[in-house]
Amino acid sequence: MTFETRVGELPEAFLLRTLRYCDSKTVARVAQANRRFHGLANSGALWRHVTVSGRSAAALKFVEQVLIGRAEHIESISFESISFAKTPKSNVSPETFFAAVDKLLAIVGSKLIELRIEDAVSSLIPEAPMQFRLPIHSSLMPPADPVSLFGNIKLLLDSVGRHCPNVKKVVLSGDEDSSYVGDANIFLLTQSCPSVETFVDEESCGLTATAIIHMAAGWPKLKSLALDTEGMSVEDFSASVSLFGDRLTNLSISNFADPLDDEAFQVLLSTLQKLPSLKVLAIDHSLTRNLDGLDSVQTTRLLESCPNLQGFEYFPTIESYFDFDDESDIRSLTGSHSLVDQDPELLIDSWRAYRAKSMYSRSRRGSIGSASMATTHFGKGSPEDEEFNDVTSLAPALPSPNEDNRNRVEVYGMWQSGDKLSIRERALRILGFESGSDFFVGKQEIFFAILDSVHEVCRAKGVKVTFAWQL
Amino acid sequence: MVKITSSDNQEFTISKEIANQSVLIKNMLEDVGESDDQPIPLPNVSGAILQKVIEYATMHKDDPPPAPEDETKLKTSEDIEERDKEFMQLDQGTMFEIILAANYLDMKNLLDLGCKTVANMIKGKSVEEVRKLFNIVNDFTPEEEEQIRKENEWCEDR
Repeated sequence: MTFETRVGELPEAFLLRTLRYCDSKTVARVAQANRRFHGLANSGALWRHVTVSGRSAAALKFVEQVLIGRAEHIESISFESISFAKTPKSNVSPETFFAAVDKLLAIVGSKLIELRIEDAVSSLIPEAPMQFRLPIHSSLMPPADPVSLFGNIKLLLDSVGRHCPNVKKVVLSGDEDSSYVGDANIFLLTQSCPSVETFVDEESCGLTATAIIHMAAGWPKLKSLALDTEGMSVEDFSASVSLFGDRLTNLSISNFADPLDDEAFQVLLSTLQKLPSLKVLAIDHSLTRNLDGLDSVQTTRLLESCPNLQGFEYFPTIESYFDFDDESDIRSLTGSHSLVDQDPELLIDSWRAYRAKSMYSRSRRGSIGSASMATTHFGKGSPEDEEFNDVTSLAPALPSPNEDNRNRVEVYGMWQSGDKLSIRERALRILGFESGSDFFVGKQEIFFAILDSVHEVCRAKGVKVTFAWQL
Repeated sequence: MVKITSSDNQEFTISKEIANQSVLIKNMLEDVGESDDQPIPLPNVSGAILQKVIEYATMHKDDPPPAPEDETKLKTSEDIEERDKEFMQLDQGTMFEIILAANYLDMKNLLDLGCKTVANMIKGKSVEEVRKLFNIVNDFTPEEEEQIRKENEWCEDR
């Protein structure tokens, strides 16, 4: 008895649930298989959340031929990496495309509750040269890329503002090469969509404290805020985010423009104290200069600043420990904050992978010159570095990148007190390594020590801790 | 400990925390009370499949309870855990039986794993390949087929 011969017996609910995990393209193909699947594929439940992506010509067809007819079901729309680059097959202009989107949004209207705009430029142009950006607070903002989604975001936000006043959740997600969304567009959004409760800035949207001040003024119902604070000073962050007061229950931040030294940490703590309703705090340290992560003293002070905290999500600097590349000249870097008394050699190793992103992000903020970066920090690894060579053999064991996931594999771990497995065993398993693997000598020990100490403090305070990271 | 019997009368003794992952069994246990040590009959699941389902439940006994369903949330089938991927490395017949068992036993996580696994199987497949995979007979009239092909033209155009 095979799967094939009995698929007809699978419960309807199961097949529908399965199709909800599929993209619209797959659903459309399944719809053409036979009458039963055609019926299933047209069920409204599958069209609540839709994703528009790809080259503008195909995206336009999808909007006009598929979505407009199903607009009554739509509650949530993702626009992902739509490219307006001219190719022999595709020459739809942003104006034409967004005119069709405007038609669609006019029908969806106040039913739209979620808007997600993702512009992962590097997924469109895999060989995109690294661009070094000027600091985002500079008046010399880089010109918007005219063929990208973010480069044309005003057209989209204008339509959303005209037709969809009930949007409750907005997600903006860019990457290192996307155009900045900018504060002015956020202002537009706060004026036209006053009901937003959740705002997520996933990466590099180029928002400054000004945008956060607009949000605090324009979104009285905002409860959940996730920010990429990489380009922001902790003082600017503090001055703007404090304005939310007791509205905010969820806050997610990354590293700040400056190292989180004692003084900056104190500013962060005083900001948190002004947000007394905070229930969930997430800190993404995957790019932090504080590369050894929070120590137990810092974690304790953090939790004490948030008396109502129930959950703490921590993204450790995993790249420092598990992602290795060619770089040896890291001794010139400064700013390490060590959690445990470790052999300095190990710390140097842990700088290695971290460096590329850190230097890149710092160069973007203009704090170092790109010339010195090119020579000093993108040199070749030294061949005599034995441990470095050893650990590169880890690479095949890492989860393989998935195309659909824009070359990012999300590894997600969760620990709660009472777990029988140790943190180390859990982390190893989530990373896809065998427990007891002898790869983990040296620098990974620091990683696990961080997880252990954060976990220990959270458990003592009764706060649920979640660790997560991306590879 | 809880005793359960399969359709072919195999008896399994499992811990309560494993048994409770099935909402069906959990409800039954609540109905009959603690004292009853009669095995619970599961006439829709064979011993071989029940064995696999118990293996899955044992593997996940320390998981936090599943988060309540968020209907508007974008669903992805890319987030299958490694150990679950390994667990699903089965012949399709067994996989199918496990999905039906998860449905019957009301085990949300296992059912979702089944959905995701099947979703990953159909992604990127052509219409013909989908038909072949599921052994679907094309029952459209030529006119309908042409109409539906037109309707879905967009998805072949990238």
